Amino acid sequence: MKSLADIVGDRWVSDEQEVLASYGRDISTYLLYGQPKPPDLVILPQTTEEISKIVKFAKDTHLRITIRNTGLSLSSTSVAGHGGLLIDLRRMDRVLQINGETHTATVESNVSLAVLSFAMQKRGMFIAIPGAPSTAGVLSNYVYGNTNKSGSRLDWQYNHIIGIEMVLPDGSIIRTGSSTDDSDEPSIWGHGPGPDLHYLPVHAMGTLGIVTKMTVRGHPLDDECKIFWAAFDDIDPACSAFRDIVRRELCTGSCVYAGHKYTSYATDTSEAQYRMNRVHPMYSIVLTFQGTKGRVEYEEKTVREIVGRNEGRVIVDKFPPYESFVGSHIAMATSLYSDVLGAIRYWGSRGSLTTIFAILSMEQLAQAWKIFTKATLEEEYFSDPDNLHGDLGLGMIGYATEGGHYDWLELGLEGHNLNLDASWASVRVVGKCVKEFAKLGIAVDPRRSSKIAPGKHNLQSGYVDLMTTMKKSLDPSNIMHPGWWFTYKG
Amino acid sequence: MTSNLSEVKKDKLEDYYEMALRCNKCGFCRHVQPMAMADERFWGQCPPGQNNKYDSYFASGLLEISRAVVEGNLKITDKVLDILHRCTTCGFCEEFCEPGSRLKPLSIIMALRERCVEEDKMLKPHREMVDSMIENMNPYGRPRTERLSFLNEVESLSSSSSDHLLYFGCCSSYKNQEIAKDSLEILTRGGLDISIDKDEICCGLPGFSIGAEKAGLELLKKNIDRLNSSGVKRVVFVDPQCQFTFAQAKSHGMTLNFELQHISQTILGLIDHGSLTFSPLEEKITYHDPCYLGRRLGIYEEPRKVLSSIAGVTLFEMPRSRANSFCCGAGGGVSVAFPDETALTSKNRFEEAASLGVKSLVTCDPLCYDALEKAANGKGIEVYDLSKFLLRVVEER
Repeated sequence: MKSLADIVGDRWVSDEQEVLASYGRDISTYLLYGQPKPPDLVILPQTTEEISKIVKFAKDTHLRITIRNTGLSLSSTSVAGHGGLLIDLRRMDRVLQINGETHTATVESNVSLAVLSFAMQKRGMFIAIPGAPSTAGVLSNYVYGNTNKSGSRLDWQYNHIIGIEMVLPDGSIIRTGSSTDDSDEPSIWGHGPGPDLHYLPVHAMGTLGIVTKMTVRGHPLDDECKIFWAAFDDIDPACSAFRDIVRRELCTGSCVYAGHKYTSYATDTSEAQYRMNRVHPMYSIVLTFQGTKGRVEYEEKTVREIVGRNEGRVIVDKFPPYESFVGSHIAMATSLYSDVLGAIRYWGSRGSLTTIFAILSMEQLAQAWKIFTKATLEEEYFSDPDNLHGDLGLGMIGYATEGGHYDWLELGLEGHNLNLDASWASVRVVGKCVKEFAKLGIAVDPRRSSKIAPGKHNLQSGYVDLMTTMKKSLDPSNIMHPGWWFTYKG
Repeated sequence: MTSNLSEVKKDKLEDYYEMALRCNKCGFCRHVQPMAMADERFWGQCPPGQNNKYDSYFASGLLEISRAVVEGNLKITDKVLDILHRCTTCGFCEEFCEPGSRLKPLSIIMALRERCVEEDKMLKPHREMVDSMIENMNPYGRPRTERLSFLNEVESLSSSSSDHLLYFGCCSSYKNQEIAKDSLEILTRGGLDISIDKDEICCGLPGFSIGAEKAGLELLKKNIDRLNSSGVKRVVFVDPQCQFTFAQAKSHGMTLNFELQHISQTILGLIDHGSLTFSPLEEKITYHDPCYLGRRLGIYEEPRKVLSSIAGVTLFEMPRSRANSFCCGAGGGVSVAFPDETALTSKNRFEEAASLGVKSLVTCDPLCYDALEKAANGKGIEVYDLSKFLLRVVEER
């Protein structure tokens, strides 16, 4: 304690059980009713240099480290499963610079999406918004958020990172890309001067170091933005229309929905969700037209033709009661910035029981949905209609990515349901889907919602092998967020 | 957001256990609701969380502490009391969590406070405060002879014929008597025939707010019994915290034979009636929403309408206003037990007002006035209670 207090001051380190009790949980289902897992110590540094000293101390004393940024992890990455030291980054919450000419912003760890989004909008820019609450951290979502909410125009969140500052497991500090330039007007050379390491922490879940600062790219606000929503009678025409739109490079935000994905987020109670599920279209596409007035007119005209060819119905103007739902689509699906802060109001609700993330070709979208539907209905728990009831629905969302060649897929059992039996049943569905998808060459993303209980996970073995190899190299003592699955001893 | 929190807390701590489990740490209780964000510098909410940073001090952390206490994994220690009683009961967490996620963080916090008192675990200043409520009928340890010492000649309730009664509350009766005096004067200048109760006693709020419900209830019942039998038709409150306490009477099984009204509402009525008129004043001002008046009682517009009725006054909204208003830091027994904590919070709030470049900061809760006036000390912005501000410009009838 004294050594750590010497680094940050007495006030900002604690081993008091009353303080630690608040650090034992996140949104992970198995921790909901299970025993919380508090750390042995919690420390709140304010600078990168302090973190560097803390990590060196931890390495020397073999004290395991867990990081908590805004604490919204869905998979207990901010829970100290093995005790040890929890580094709470709450005091690192400054927007360090916003440059209107280079369209960049540099932030510390704890700056939230809402704060940076607001600050950028005031200066005529927007940032890519991941599928996360406005209270979530920019930094942790850009390196760890695995959903591509930005459509094919903006692409993955982590491609918007142009520089990081990071403390490695030995306490050394590295800077990449723009962060290597410490002048008052930093460059925007994201991949330079090399080697290009700014992907190092991406999707490593805090196991390879602690990112303390990040420079991200912003984008000028468009002249005009417009939401578009069309419904279909089946999954195949919906996916067909979606493919056609994306391959013509139309629309900034673009996604296809099946079932009841996100109706829980757009409603505030189980009852409200039940009502929405009853009238919500089973298959739909949600798009944004963004750009100059002429561009928006062209996109809308062309999209309407495509929807017509696929026997879809334009419904964007026909559902006034669902403003909040449309808003949620805008925010989560399409990166539209104008209403984004308000639209993610209900993300804080407990929405998904569990979710599968996968990357697949455009042609495989409909097939994936059918596999998921079949696996769910074959699961004993959900085969009972009383258990798959009104406020618990199957849902899918597919986002165009990688220039429209691929889709980023989310499949989930959605609802305000807090039933633990349902949660475990949904985990079994995920496991079954992972196996079925593998037969088709569909890569299931292992990173999120995969950790279901101590010692249990749905991670692919290849991912665990790769991460273990990298981690042994950078963190031979295995002090940096061991998580549940890296079982080697340092 | 129009919901109010006029009925906080119904159950014992154990009854809230399932609810405490359901907190998913979304963080919406810690910040201004995103759609209402007006300045990223003033985005934070939850005064103890902002001041102390550890998760434990935010509502979500206190829910984890509550859970651990119910499970028997955490005893009520001095540290628990220290964390728990830094909450100002501002109600921001519940204002948005309840409609959004059906959780009631403040209710759980209040239930934990009651549990502490049941186990006879209290902070020393709070214990002294409750003792004084019982002994002196005020929370400040002051003899009753000091109460309203500036008003020796006024009629008592029993001898007044008015069916309106002005209820001062202890803060303005003992600590900020100028507010009491100004409040009575502005109503009188508006031609309102209103009586006062020379034997007014504490409403009980200090007890309720720290978990000493028994002491609070006893005083509340005495108040209501007296007022019910007095024949008064409307009680006008200087202090919204007292009004909030009276408003809870129904949930405690008591019946009120009179209406409750905040003084800002009464003043607005006098303005609308043409009984109060003001001379023009060229001044930039801002208004601080007291938590108990706003979030608890849902009264946001009346004070603003009163201030906006003065020609020449320009009312600027603080970045955190109305349901998203930031607390002054004094409520919930915090100013009694942790004056330094109150000073940190009120400084934050004052800086927010200062960022607008206004000349005056107006509020209408004596406790808020007290905290903000201390924060403003010599920094170029005058802090006013609503009545005092109006007395600057009220016209003779």
